[in-house]
Amino acid sequence: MSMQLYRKNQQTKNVLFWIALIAFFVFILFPFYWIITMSFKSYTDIISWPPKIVFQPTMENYRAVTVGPDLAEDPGSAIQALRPDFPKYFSNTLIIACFAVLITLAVGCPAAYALSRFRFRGREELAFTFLSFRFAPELVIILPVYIIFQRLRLINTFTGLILVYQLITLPLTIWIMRGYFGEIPVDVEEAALIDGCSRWTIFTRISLPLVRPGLAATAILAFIFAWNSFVFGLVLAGRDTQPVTIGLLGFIGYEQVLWGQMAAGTVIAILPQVVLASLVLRHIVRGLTFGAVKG
Amino acid sequence: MSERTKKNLRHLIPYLFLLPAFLMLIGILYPFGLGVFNSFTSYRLTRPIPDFIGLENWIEILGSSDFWNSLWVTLRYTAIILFIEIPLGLAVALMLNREVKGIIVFRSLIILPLMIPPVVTALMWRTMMNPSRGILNYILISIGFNPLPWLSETSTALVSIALIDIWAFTPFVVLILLAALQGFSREPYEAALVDGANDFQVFRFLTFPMITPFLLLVTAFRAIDAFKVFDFIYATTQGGPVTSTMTLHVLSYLESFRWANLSRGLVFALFLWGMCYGITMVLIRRWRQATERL
Repeated sequence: MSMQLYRKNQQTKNVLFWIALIAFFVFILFPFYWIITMSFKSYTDIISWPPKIVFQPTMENYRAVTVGPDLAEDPGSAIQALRPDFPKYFSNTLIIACFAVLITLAVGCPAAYALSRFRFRGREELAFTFLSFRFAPELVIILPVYIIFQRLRLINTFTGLILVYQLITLPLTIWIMRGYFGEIPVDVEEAALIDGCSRWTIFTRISLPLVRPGLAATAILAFIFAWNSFVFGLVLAGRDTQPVTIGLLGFIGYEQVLWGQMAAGTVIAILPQVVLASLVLRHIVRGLTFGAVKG
Repeated sequence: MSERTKKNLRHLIPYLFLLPAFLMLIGILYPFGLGVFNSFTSYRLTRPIPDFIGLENWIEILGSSDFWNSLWVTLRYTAIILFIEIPLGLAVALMLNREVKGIIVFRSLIILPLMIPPVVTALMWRTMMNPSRGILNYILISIGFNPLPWLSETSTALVSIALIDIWAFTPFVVLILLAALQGFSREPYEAALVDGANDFQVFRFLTFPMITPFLLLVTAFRAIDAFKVFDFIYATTQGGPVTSTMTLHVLSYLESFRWANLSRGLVFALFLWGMCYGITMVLIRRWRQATERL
């Protein structure tokens, strides 16, 4: 009898468990569902009330944001010039994020190696100084950078943006790579040292190849963070260098909101992130905590 | 080359590895210093000449109601999101820690909101929160509630943005606590099972003490990020309606670029930096403890 009661109790618990879990995930997944369906809706379907669950899907929004709207239907070329140029934003972000990550890896990896392998004075202080930028409000650095860039004419240039994006990618890279280098057994390197290899040879020929998976994950995480950033572009980019995150705001004009195109742009901006994230699933916790939690 | 110079050179090796990063560091610290300096000047976008005016900006701002309003908004926002994200995150982490069939799918799905740009998150929710055409009000009405003004009224705007934050960052709390839970050894749990402890006792006397350092870590992370929230607000209300969502970071931006007063903007940013720095110090101490435990 009591066994039966216990089982029934267990069963109720299981049911409650699944209800709670699924409720939470409906909350998490619903916005994705909504924005994805919206990207396939026509303007009239989007603004209809009650909201349409069943609708005739259209690719018009995607066409409008990728190759521009149908000119036969919308010959107003004056409006055309003011439209958000989504493909440009996309390639801008790609340029900025890729170069920012490349530079960060070149600068960050040797630094991370030194901070993990060598003992020298001020090591921890230096490491934590880099870390502290993760926790500083961006504007504290960006506002003065604006003054400097104005003087150097670096506002609205890729060079300028790639440089300031180091503020996002470099601390991340140094801290995560430091952890990965620390996990290599020291014996391997010591053996090479006895064989007369220089420190630099050991770093490039032995240590770097050993951390390759970690390096790839770090590069991807840094790319995601760079891609997602907003305030740097908001202050320091201009017409020619605007990244996707700023460009998307352009769909919300004073006169009308291009809901469908905004949704299509959103989906396109999310897509690379989801693909990349799925590649580094195991490394994400490390990336999010800068190596504090290994995951 | 004598042995001695060789040895001296060897001391230089770490610094050579660090040289490029060190140059970057100067590239970050120099603007920071320039920022501190210019908070004592009257630098305006329209008149970019740094006239030194001492503490004038600081005194004026610390006495202004804009500043105190923004500080209050920032603290309220932080309190709301911590109060919900941490317990909710812990609850979900405990659920995802159960080894049941299919749970792995949920463990992967949870990262989705974290990987997309916060601006995009804000735009998605802004669309859904539209008072007249948004799906959220439709859902509210169809289950018998009154529609809400969401982002468009002072009484609900801040809470609405907090809801966006909760959606986006509760997964962050979940992921870190889940990673911590998975790292715990099974033995004490097995012992508790043998002793006939119930679920509550297991949580209260085993899980909770073990997870506390991680809870503190994740709270510090979330608190700092909430202090400097910017993207969600800029993409939704830009501080409005009136000043109901005007956090310090947003105020700093608007002061600098909408009202062209870069020096005053810097004062807000620096004050905020001080707040974040204080918590960071606590975080770093916790951090060392948490890593030592792992």
